[in-house]
Order: sequence, then structure tokens, then C-alpha cells
Amino acid sequence: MKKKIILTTVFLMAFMSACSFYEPLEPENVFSLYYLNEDQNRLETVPYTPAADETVPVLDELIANQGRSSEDGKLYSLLPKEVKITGSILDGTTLILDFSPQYKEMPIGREALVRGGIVREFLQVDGVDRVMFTVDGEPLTDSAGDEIGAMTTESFVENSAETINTYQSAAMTLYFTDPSGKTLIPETRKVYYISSEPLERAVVDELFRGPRMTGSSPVFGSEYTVLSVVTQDDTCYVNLNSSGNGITAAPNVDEKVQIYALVNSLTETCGVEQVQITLDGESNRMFRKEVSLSAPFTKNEELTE
Amino acid sequence: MVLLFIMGIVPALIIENVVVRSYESRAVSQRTVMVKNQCDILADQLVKRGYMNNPTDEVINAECDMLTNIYNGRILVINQDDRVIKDTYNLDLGKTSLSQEVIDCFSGKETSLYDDEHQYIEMTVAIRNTESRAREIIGVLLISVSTVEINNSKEILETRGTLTLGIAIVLILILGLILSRVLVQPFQKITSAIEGITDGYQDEDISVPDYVETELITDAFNRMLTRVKTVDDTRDEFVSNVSHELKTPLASMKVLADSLNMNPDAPLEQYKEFMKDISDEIDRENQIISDLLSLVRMDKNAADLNIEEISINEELEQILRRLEPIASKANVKLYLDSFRPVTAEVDETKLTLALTNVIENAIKYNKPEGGWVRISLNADRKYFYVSIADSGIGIPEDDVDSIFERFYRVDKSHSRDIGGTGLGLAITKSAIAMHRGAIRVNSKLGEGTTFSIRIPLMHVV
Repeated sequence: MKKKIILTTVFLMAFMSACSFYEPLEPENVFSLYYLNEDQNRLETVPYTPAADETVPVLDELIANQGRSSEDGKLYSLLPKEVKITGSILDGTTLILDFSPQYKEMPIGREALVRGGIVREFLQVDGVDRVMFTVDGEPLTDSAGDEIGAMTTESFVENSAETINTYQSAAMTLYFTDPSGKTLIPETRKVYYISSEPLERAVVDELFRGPRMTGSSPVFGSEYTVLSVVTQDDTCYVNLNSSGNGITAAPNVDEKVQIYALVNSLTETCGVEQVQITLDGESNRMFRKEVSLSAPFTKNEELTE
Repeated sequence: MVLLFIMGIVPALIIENVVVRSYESRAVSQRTVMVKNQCDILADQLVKRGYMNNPTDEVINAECDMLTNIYNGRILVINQDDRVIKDTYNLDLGKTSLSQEVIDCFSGKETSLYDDEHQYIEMTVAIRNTESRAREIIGVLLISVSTVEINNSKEILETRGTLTLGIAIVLILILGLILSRVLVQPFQKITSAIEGITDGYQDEDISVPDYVETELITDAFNRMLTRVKTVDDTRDEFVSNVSHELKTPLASMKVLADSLNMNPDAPLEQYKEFMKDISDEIDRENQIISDLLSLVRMDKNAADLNIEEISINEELEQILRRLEPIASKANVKLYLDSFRPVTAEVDETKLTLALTNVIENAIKYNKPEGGWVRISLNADRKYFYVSIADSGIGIPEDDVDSIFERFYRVDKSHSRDIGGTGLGLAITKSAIAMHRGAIRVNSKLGEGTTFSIRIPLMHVV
């Protein structure tokens, strides 16, 4: 009897695991092709699996597909008939697409949709991080004559209204520095942030965006990125990543000023007592050269003007 | 009870829903109009102050922030390159807008929509270059306003409504219970009173004067009760009368038989005489019983009538022929006045019995020295009339109303001489009633009596 039960169980388990094995696997490189809807006022996507899997052949495939309507014929192609992609260069991770001169004749709304659709479509390809447009060999400019430059998904915004209720506002006191990089200058501003993320994270993000007041300088450049901001009891843990490209935006900013800009902003705005900074998750490191991160920091008023 | 409940609650539910719905749509449309006005003004100012080329204008920025704060919304100013040059949330600055509403607005179609799922109002306002004649679109204002607040008020309203409704339901329930108790109570009183009478422990009239309706019901019931009692009394009296009438001949026979028994030497003549008397009494007993039987038959319903069309003139002539011997014996003259030939739908046997009884009475109760009986027959379209007038002894005024009662005798002392059972007129009245007719009597003591009978020509069921 016992043997039977065990056998059945084994069978069942084998069967169940078999089931999970044969579930249809998600194909790894499913792309979305971008089209315009019937009224030509919205982007629509159609799933697509490219035949090639190397970067350049996939790009060629996508370029060749431009100007075609969707397979069921209901959706329009992004580019009008007269506009063609005349060339493409992959410069590092930036894809440069060259268009025929007729590109500039598209009405404003259509142009924006085309740009957004093409950028989003090509950014799906591995090895492409940014997309830049040129028209007849010249970089694309706006009506004022300024270059638009390389674009990412962040360059576009859609349905900003739908998420309005997910934002909330907070008055933040943020500390930046003077051009000399020796003292802290407080700046108070009202900031909207997504309710689902903690206020501490919003404060750190806002600090990294830089000052708005004239006479203030940013304390952090792009050498650091924020990995995570977590608060437990009255301690805020800020995990920074320093393995970026190492460009120091403000080489003259004092190390202490950098540390206490972060600490003072957080303690003032969020009401935490102390801030523990880690680099890549480790606290036994030195911040730049002089400051040890081994202990959490508390607010320091001395550096404020 | 259930009806009361439904009547109270369903309208309340409907009203609650309607109020909440209408509040929401009204609040949203009001909000939309207000924001739209502000934004139209803002769009004009943007152009006048050249904000599209200089998005650092303090006045406009302050105004945008103010609007954002007041309406809990977000303003995006989008320039002619479809680029966000002002975002009051500072989140999408410098980005290119791909929103359908913005694209539409660039082609001249402003939108204003309310999304109740995500709870916001979104609208676009075209910024037109008022300085140029073409008034071309040089930008778009994209405004989104949160309606969470409206929704919160709506929810509060809904909660309050539901709470009030809940209280109302409980109140209605309680009130309904009490009310139905109170309303039904008088009827229950009536029921128990009637049951009391049925069970026999209550004898007087019932009275529930709570409502006009109950009073009417009890009054009707009391009348019925009185009638039932009268019928009951009549029956009791009838039974005692019948017993008495049946006993009288028996008592006579007993006396006659006993006196013969006690006197064994009685002469033969006496025997003969007594036996004849006994035989007479038996006849009388027999007569009473057959009269009673016919009376009982009369009391049954009209369905027993054997209706046929007969000539009333012939019928009367036949009756008179049969009564002629008795009349001449009593020295009474019979006259028949037929004004016209009359045929009617009647039960021959019963009508003959009825008429015979009246005419026989007219002969019997005539004056001892003799007199006359005058019978007349007439008719109109609906009825025929028979009147029987005599020159008899008449009926005292006090007795006129009672002569149709069973066993009623006007002059109790003479009744034995004249004979009869006291049932004749009762039988007549029943027979005429069965034909849906009527009988009236007019009498003057010592001068004579007139019976008037009216019977419909056509028998109506």
C-alpha cells in the first residue's frame, strides 16, 4: 500500500515537472514593430520576431520594414511614402539614421510620432542605447535651429495625465554647494514624485538633478548613480554605485560637502536621524580618499553658510 | 408588510443612486469648465508674454504653479516642436510628447475627457499665435486634473447615503411591524368576537368602533345575527306550534277512547257517535300533516317549480266550480270578474293551492247568515292581478300583520268550528313568493276583507 502511494506521488511529481518543461517558452527576442493607428494620432505595436539575431542584420531588417503597413493592413507605417531612410551608421552604441529631405515636410504631430516610434523600435535591438536622426546628412534641428541630438526612451512622454494620481508632492530642503565647493547652500523646492517610491529616494534623485537657484553648483556629477535608498527605523541607507565612467562633474567639490549635502538633505526633509552611505553595497570603503563610510552620518550644520 | 417594505426602500435606493451619480457628473463638469477657463486665459498670456520662446518667465511659472496647487493638477506647456518646455511636476521637461490628445491638438482638435477609472480630467488647449493673422498653433497646453477629491466626496456621500438608508430600513422595518400590528388589530378583534359567538360563549352584538370599515362590518354582521336569531326563534315557535296542533286531535281521541273504555255499558249509539268523532279527529290530523308537508315543499327553492303557460281565467273558473258546493252550503254567492284573458307562466298546482286557500277562507269566514265573494282578474304588461273581496267578518287591525304566520288564528275560540289547520295563508304566501309575486290584505272588522295578489306574467329565475 505504502509503495503504491510513493509510486503515485513520484509519478505525479514527474508529470507536473514535465508539464512545466513543456510550457511554451517566451521567445527571447520578441520585438514590437511600431505603427500608426487609423486616425494617425497614436502609436500601436505589433509583436515581431526578427529572422536574424546579430545587431547589424536585425537593424537592416527593421530599416527594410519601414514604410510598410502592418500585415493585416489595418495599421499605417510610421514613415510616409516620400520619406525614406537613406543610410544608417552604428557609432558605438549610438545609431545614426539618415533620412531623405522630405522628412522635414511632415507636420509636427506626425513627425513626433515617427520619431518616437522609430527610436523606441530601434532601442529594442541589443547594442543600441541611443538613436540620432540626420536629414540629408545634417543633424535634425528643431524650429529654433537647435540640434535635437541623440534620443532614448526617456526623450518621450506619453499619457502623462493617466498617472496623475500616482504622484504626490513634498517640500524638500536640498543642499547644494557654491562654485568653490566648500560650503552648503540650502534650497527649498516643491517636488512631485511617484507615491510608490519612498520620499528618501525622491530626495536623493532630486539632489542628483542639481540646483535651480543661480549661484549654486551641483554636488554630484555623473560619477555616481543611485542603486537604492532604504529606510529602517531612523537610519537611511543610501547605496551608491561608483563604477560609472568616472567623470567627475565637480572636481573641486569638497568630499565632506558631498557627504553632508546628502546627509543634511535627507535628515532635514525626511526626518531620519542618521544616514549610512554604502558604495556598491559595502560600508567598509573610503569615500573618495579621506572619508570612511564605516559609521552612519548625522546632520552637520557647520558646513552651511 | 413586505409591500410596505418595498415601497419604502426601493425609492430610497433609487434616490440615493441618482443623487450620488448626479453629484459626480456635476462636480466633474464644473471642474472641467473652471479649469478650461483658466487655461484659455493662461494660453493667451503665454503668447502675449512670449513664453514659448522664453520658458523662464517668472509670472507665467508662478501662475502655472498656482493653478497646479488650486486644482490639484499638472500643466504641461508643449512648444511647436512638440517638446515639453514647462512641466509643473518637473518630471518630463524637454521630452517629446507622443500623447494622442497633443497630436490631435496640433491638428486643431482640442480634447477634454474624464477618465473615471484612473480618476482624472485631461484636456488640451491649443496655443495660437494671436499676433499673426493665420493664428497658427504654436504650442499646446496639456492639463491633467486629479478628481480623487471629487471621488472622495462622492464616496463620503455614498457612505452617508448608505448609512442613512440603513437606518431608514431599520426604522421602516420597525415602523412597518408596529403599524401592521395596529392596522390589523381591529380585524383580529372582529375575528375573535365572531369566534366567540360561534363557540357560543358570547351572545350580545359585537362592536369594534376602531375604524369606519370595522364598524360597517360589525353592523352588517350584527344585522345578519339578528336575522339568524329571528329565524331561529321562528323555528322554535313553529316547532312548538306544530307539536301543539298535532297533539290536540290526539288528546281529543284519547278523551273519547278513554270515556268509552271507562263506561263498558255505553249504548251502541254513543259508541257510534264517539267513533265518528275519533275518525274526524284522524282526518284533521291527516289534514294538518299534509298541509305541513306542502308548506315544507314550498319552503324549498324555486327550482322545484314546474313552470308552464296556462290560462288564469280557466284556472279561476275551475277553482270556483270546485268550491261551489261549500259556498252554497254556507249561503255565499261567488262572482268572477275577468277583465281580459290572461295567460301566464306559473306552476299550476301551487298557484291553484294558493288561490284556493284564499277563496276558501273568504267563504269560511263569511257572515253566518251568508254573503258574497267577488273575485276579479286583471293584467298589465308585466303582471296579472287577482283580488278576492268578501263580505265577511273582517280581521281586527292588530292581527292583519300576522295572518300569514303559520298556525296563527285570529279568533282562537271559533277555530274548531270552522276547521282548517292554520297553515292555509302561510302556504299561499310561500307559493306566491316562489312566483316572485306579492300579496296584500285590506280589512275592516265586520265589513269584509280584500286580498290583492300580484304575480309576474313571465317567470323569471
